[in-house]
Amino acid sequence: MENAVTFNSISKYFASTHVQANQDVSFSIKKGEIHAICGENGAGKSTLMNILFGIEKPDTGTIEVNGEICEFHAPFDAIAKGIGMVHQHFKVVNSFSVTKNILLGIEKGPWGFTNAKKEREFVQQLSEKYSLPIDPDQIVGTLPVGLLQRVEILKMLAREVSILILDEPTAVLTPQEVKPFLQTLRTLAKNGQTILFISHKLQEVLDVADRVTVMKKGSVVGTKSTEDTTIKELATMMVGREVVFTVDKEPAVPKATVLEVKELSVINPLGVKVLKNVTFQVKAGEIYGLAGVSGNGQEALVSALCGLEKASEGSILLEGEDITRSDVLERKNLGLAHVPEDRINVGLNLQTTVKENVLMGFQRNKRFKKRLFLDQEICESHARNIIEQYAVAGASVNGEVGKLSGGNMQKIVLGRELTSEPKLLIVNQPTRGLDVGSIEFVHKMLIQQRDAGVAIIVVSVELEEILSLSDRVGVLCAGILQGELTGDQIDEKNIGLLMVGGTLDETNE
Amino acid sequence: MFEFLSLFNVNVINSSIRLATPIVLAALGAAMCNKAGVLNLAIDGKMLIGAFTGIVATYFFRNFTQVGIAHPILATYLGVLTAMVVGGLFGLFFAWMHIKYKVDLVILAIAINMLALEVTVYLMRVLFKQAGTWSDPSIVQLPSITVGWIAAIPFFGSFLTGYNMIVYVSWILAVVLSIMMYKTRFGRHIQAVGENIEAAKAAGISVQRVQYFALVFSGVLAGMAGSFLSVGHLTLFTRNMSNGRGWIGNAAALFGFNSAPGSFFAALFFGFADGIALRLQNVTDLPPYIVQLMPNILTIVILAFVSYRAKLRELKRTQQ
Amino acid sequence: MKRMSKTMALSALVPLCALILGILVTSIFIFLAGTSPLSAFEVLISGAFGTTGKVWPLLITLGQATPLILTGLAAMYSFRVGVFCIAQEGQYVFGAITAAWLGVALNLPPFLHVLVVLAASMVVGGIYGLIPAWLKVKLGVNEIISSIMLNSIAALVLEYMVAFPLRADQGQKAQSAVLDRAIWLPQFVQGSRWGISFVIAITLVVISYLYIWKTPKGYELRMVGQSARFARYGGVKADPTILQTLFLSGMIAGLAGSMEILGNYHRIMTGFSSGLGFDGLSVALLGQSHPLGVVIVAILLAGIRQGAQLGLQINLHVPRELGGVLIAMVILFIAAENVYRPYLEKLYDKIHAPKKELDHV
Repeated sequence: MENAVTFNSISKYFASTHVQANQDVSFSIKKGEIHAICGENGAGKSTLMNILFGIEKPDTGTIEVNGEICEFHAPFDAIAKGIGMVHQHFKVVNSFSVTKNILLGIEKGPWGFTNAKKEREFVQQLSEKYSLPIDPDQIVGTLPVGLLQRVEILKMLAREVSILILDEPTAVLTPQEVKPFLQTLRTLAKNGQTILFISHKLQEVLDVADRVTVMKKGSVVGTKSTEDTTIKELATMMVGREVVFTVDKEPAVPKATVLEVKELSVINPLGVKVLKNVTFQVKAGEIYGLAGVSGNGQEALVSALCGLEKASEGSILLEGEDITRSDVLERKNLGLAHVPEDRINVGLNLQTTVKENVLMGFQRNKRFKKRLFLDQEICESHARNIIEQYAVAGASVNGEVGKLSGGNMQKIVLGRELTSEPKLLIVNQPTRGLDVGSIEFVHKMLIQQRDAGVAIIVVSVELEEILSLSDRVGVLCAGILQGELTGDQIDEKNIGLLMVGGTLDETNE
Repeated sequence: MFEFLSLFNVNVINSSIRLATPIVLAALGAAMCNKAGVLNLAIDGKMLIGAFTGIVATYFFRNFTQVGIAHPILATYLGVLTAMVVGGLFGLFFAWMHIKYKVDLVILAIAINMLALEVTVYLMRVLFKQAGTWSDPSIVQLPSITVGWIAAIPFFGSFLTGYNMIVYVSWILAVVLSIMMYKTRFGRHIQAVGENIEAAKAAGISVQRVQYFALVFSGVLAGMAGSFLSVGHLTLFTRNMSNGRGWIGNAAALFGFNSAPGSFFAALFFGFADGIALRLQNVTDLPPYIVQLMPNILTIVILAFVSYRAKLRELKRTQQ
Repeated sequence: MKRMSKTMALSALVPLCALILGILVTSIFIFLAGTSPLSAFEVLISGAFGTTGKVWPLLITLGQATPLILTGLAAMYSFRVGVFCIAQEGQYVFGAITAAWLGVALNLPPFLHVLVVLAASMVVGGIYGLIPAWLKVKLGVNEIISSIMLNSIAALVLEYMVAFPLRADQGQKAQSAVLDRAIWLPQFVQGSRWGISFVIAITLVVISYLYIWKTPKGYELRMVGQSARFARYGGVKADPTILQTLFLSGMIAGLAGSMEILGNYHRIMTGFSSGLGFDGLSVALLGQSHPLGVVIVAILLAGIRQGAQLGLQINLHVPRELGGVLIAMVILFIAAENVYRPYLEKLYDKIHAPKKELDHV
């Protein structure tokens, strides 16, 4: 088989961040295959793809496309050679229809004008040709993530590309959306497309790819055919050591009830009831996993628990005390800590120092005050303690948080939230976007806290995370707590059933 | 009961349309910039510069060139053209600074607005030895053009004609821009750039070209609006002649949700508020200051309403 | 350590470079007026910071700088909480109107009278500051445009007030009655305008520094300004913080207007403010939104305006607007720092590179 793309010793150095993103990368991709590229965060996968798509230029090395050496100055050049890329964060114009988005930049019509009818027909034919059904008139802003991705893929196919790059395509999909998506990839490959996709979900890679290339610290570790490899081997290649996939933990020893939520409802600013009469309890020393497809009330529940959003009905009791009407700081003082989903925009302020970041939430605490003022010495030693205790690499008390890596940022957030010795810890998507090493660290931390007697709620859309951490699981669907699972009930099948609105009784039948 | 109707007569409508014209031009430019995602808050300053260069250039062409001496009206048209070119050059400068050097447009706008206010007075004093107002008897006002067959239309005819060139141009522009935004490739590209730069880039659209166009275009319009004030509406220049019209244009663009027809009618609305305020001043005992307050207060009230709607819309979008 | 000193050197070099470039461009305009730029700037500087004559120009500059320091401080509060409110001019005018009105209308023992007048104008200024803040927080109105409208409204209200309700006599100029001498704020040197208001302004600068950088509330204010979602997550109530801060900002601008009436003009007249509030915005921008920067820039700007008026216009017949041109040019070059910053960095490296080699030897 011919090669679609060949990388010849590509190197790329970023002077601004002193990172050698790619070092002498050479491998090739065969025509018509599905080729996966795996590696931890910062392994250089995205940089390599950006070079192939013309977003970055390599310092040295060449790229051959269909046997011809090519030099790309902009994505435009890459598209002209038949290379298309679907980014992890979709680049769509929300207010435009599907048709307008797909044809953005390659509109059909005479003399600079557009012809709506022609465009619509074109999109319909395209979607039929590749069997990717979509409504051409729908406004893109109202589409679910899975269909958005389809729009992005169609956008590239409309440009008649033959090599499709997908940057972590499944990271944004819900578990139900993943299977049909992988099927789509196979169909595309059958139709002659060459597919290159970045992922660090190894099971997926083995399921769908023909070959896989593993990268580490900017270099290629090796390329394997998926038929002759295993998850364990790939993981070892990625990390450079053996990785423990199951989290080591003793059975939980739950103690007194810490959190009691009764008939809690939340109405959002648009007047929609996004959380409906949710009731559950969490005990000290257990991890309560909250599963569900993203957007089914998790946000509202977490916000209501933390005091960021008002409860319209029901009550919240923390260690028997009614905190339904308390504000964020009052709840914090009573022992509630919260690690938010979006650590970059919500959990941290990237414009300021570590010292000021770890003060947030404690600024009115007596411990940090000296009469009217903040006690600078105590603030500094507080920051120093967190940096040392959690081994935050590259951080200094007065250094900017924005310069740290994702894993180290999460350590700062965790450190800040845990120093108050909370009774209840709520963590939302704790490992999103982190590499394998950091995930291990965060999971260990959570188990350690549980064993120390903290009540923990883990909200995650990653089923694996819920399965490996939780002692009990609650599943949210459309704002309703669809069901709770304990002990042996906790498995993928039961959770999946509850996630889509089913009940456990059906499984028993 | 219908006494207030006496406020409206042909004169009021005509003068309102004239008062609205610079606001229309400012609003069309501002809307274009907002659509392209480059906030242009220097329209007022560029308008003031346009007013000054418009009248100075007219004076120059009228008295120091053969063409101008022979055809005084042509000198005025050349003056307007000069104002447009200068306005466009300032727009180009803005675009260059912002796109090439990532200069903050808001701070740049503040500097240009302040510079326009001070430089025009300074030059008026240095060149013409006048402190507050400057005019020259040789300058001919931009002529009004009455189209016979339009004037003959019963009732509406008298509102639709009898204005100078710039008024008609502002109307034509409103129509052309509406078509451009919704029916052409370039219009679609502008909207894409304004809503999501990354999406536009990924689709191979030249973001720079769109932003350069928007800023230069709005500069040209601001220059034209300024010359309308100094040689179209009157034939003089006074300190701070734009008097916040550019800002009202910005508000009108927001009021019209940055669409060309929307901003056009919003600007007309502000023009009518001005015209009626003037009329009120003539027929009632209200102190002039109170009447002049009305467009300002109206702007804030309308902005509040519009912004709240936009905020709800945004909320709806993010909650989905 | 080396890197740190480089950024620090550059943060001083950039404004300096902007000033020099501003002066160069302004020189072209001085040429137009038929004067030599060198002598013009000499006159400007001596008119601004000279220490000769019965009343030193320097002292007058300090007096002129007083309201600028305060309006600059007011703008600084607004910027720090992340709101680009530029309605200081309107707040300043309303503070002044309140002072001119209550200064005549009330009949109280002098000391109490002054306190009541100052407090009332601060409240009025504060309320005027709340308007754009409330509009932004609750309705999402762009604060720059609403501020501009509020400034025009204040200017028109001022014209109305001095023409009708507050008018003292039917003389040519619309102006209010002169305040009773007993409530005039003292000046240190008669005729210099430099008085107790300056001390109050500097005191407020020090307090503001401590408040914003050293207290819990100041910390919350800055965090709201830098990242509102982070602050909200951490239990800071962002909207009330913004409203409080803008009220505070309005109070300071209102106080500036009030002290100008009590300490300087002793009455209010048409055209009273003439863009002074807008200079406050420039002061905060050029002073990097830092109290120390605000003081330095306010004195510099006051000096430029003062020197342009007393020196250039009177001695050389160069229009006083030149001062404004120079200020606008400096803002322009500060905004455009990215254009010449790389050259400054290269220059810095060139000067320091040979030294490094010596260190190694």
